Amino acid sequence: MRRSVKAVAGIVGGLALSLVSVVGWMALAPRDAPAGQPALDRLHADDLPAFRDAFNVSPETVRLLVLLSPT
Amino acid sequence: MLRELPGAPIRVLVVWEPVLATDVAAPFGRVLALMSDPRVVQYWDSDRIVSADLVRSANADPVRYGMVERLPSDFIAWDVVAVFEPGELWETDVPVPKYYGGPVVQSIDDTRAAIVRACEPDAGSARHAPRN
Repeated sequence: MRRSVKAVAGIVGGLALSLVSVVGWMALAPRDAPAGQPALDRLHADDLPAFRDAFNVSPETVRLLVLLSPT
Repeated sequence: MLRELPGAPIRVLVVWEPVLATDVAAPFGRVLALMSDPRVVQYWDSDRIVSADLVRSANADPVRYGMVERLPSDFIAWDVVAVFEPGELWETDVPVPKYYGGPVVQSIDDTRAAIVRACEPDAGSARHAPRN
């Protein structure tokens, strides 16, 4: 009985450690934009005017808007 | 595709947004590297504010955007590309694109053709020419 409790605790501990590792990796993994580009810009709820400004900043160009899922 | 148009006056706004269950965080560097051209600017839109504004614009005047019906209010615009001619400005509503399509991977040829047309010297000039 005691052995099975230890085994379960070990499994749970291992899973918790794995989860922490994955979350840490997700949070800390590099998100560098390719060379020559500005850094990845994180939009927030009130950033739509700034995004429109970014669209309008170079009206002499052809602009492409691409919406994608990262996975 | 952009490599085939070196020097063309193009600016690309790439908006990454959470759509799938696996989209739990901003894209990693190797994903951002898929769009390596210096004419690209990349965004992480965790609240999908861009998609929401596109849907709002389209539903404000569906006919203007070539639609028959309004989109559902919870519609998410994703895996889509839109091409806008020079001179277009995003003011209250998003301007009407010269072309839009999706899924993106199936729209590359049409997107390239739309870019080439939009880069022609007189593209967009008729709409923006002085009225004399």
